[in-house]
Amino acid sequence: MIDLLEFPALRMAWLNLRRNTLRTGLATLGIVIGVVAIAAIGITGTALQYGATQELGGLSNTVTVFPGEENADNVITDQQVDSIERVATGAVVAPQRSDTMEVASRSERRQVNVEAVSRPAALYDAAEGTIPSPMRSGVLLNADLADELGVELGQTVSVGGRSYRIIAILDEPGGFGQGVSVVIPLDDIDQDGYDQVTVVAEDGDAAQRLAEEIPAEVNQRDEVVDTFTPADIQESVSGFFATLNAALLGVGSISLVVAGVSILNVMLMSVIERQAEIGVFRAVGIRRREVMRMVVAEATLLGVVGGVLGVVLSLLIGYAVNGLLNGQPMLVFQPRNLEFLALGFGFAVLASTLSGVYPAWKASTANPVEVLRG
Amino acid sequence: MTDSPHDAAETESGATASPERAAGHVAELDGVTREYRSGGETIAALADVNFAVDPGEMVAVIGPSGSGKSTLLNVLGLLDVPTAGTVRLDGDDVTDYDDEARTMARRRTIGFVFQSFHLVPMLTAVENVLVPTMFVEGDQRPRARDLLERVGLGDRLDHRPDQLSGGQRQRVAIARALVNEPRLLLADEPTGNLDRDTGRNILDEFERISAEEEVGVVAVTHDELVTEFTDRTVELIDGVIQ
Ligand SMILES: Nc1ncnc2c1ncn2[C@@H]1O[C@H](COP(=O)(O)OP(=O)(O)OP(=O)(O)O)[C@@H](O)[C@H]1O
Ligand SMILES: [Mg+2]
Repeated sequence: MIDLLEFPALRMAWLNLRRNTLRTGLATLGIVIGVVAIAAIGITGTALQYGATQELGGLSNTVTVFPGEENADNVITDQQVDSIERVATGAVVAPQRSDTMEVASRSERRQVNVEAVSRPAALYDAAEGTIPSPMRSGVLLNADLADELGVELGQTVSVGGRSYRIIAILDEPGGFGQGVSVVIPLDDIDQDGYDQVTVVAEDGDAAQRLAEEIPAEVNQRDEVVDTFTPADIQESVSGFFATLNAALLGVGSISLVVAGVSILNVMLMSVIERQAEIGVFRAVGIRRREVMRMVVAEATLLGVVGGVLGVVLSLLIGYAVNGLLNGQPMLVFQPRNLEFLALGFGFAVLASTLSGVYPAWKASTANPVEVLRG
Repeated sequence: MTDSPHDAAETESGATASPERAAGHVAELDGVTREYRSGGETIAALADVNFAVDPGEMVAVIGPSGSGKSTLLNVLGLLDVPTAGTVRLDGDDVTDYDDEARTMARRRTIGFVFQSFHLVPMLTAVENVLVPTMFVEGDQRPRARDLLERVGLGDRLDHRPDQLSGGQRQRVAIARALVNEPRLLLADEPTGNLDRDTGRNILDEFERISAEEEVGVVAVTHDELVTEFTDRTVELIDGVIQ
């Protein structure tokens, strides 16, 4: 298998590991657990974070502007919308009104929150039909509500007593309280000012910036508007997972250190058992550093074997977890996860190699005279 | 550890016998004393010993238990360092060699055979023979096979020690001691663990080696039998040569 003359240290290491398979197995198990602690937990964290991010979805680049605490009328005025538009250059600014109204089909009726928006195409996706921009007539219905009411695209429903044709069915999951059931043209809710303004920015960073800049511009004296952006949540979610990952990596590292200590122990025992043999090696002209090389190779080999097993096991676990949480098992091969795997493997090999150094030194100091007596 | 000039010869394999070396002693002890301090008292395992082996010579060292036979062998084999006196190997003063230099000198010029064989259990006969050359450049496999054939183990090349008898193990150990083409072969009780007939075979082997290969052989023994085979017998009593 491994040639004694080509790779003497490796050959001896391999044979010595096979000498006591139970002991080798237990030492390897420690390494495997350590690698799984780092890699599998890291991969699970990635999967959870991926799921949470998906949940927030496309909303993460929007900023919602709503009346602030010191806004006496509790509405956003046209003038303030102009200010917002000035700040949010290049972004879509969509003022909205909302009211609770009765929505009815021929057979069913529901009290629901109705949104009035001039440009809903920027905010919502259609599952069926198309959303015109601007929207001047018709109604958009959430798929669930359409089901409940027993209506389809192209049919009519009444909203607040007025009759509307359904021009699109919305593809909106409605998670995180952002769900929408009914959308009608902006002017169909008749009131002064707006209940809120949604700004669709280029990306999450732009959204977070606008969430700061808009109040700074509009709130000259009083806090008349306030903002909210899911990008903030996104960021805290990321922050949370970063912290969690750091903590788990800490746990994983500790378990690898523990595995390293057990390797140290195992190697020390086996080196002491083999003292006579090592004494013979020294007597027949094998140098201290060559003895050390053999023993360190043994420890490194333990780390490599444990590391490979740990990586394989982590991949299996990651495959299952990604399948269960996100329905996409192949997500386990994300670059980030490969980093976790490399980290786990590298640390395993490093920890075991370092653990071999002291036993190796101990072995190399075996005095042939002492061990050959008897 | 200091770098000694003797390290340079690492890749030099076997004995390159120069004429002056061939003429002189392979190994020589000059006024060697080896003391052990245990508790308050000092025991002289060797006391002012003068001793020399020539190439092709076979010497038996006898004496009662505790008389210093193993100590003599260890000092000759550069495993132990004398308290006083000079050790010469092939004419070189090696008394003050550091561990590294002594290891390299053992690798080049000395072969050991131990009473309890001390083979590596997981290695085959051939691999055991190759152990001293593991970390040395060059493939000594043909030589290892050849040596095993010469000690009558041509059909046991790939057997592991647990598949060999005591006498066969000792013959593997002898082949191992010879793989580096030593100038000095040291054996501590080589027949101690063998029955009489097997012991006789092993001693025959030593005799042949010393004669054919110009190797100096020193064999420590309790066994009167050994002296029948040797050119010379040295008796040690209480660390003093009689
Ligand atoms: N490490 C040591 N520490 C203290 N005393 C030692 C040590 N090694 C050897 N001695 C002493 O040196 C003396 C010579 O020992 P040595 O092993 O050379 O005897 P030996 O002739 O080989 O005996 P045996 O025939 O029993 O093997 C003994 O008295 C022994 O007790
Ligand atoms: Mg002895």
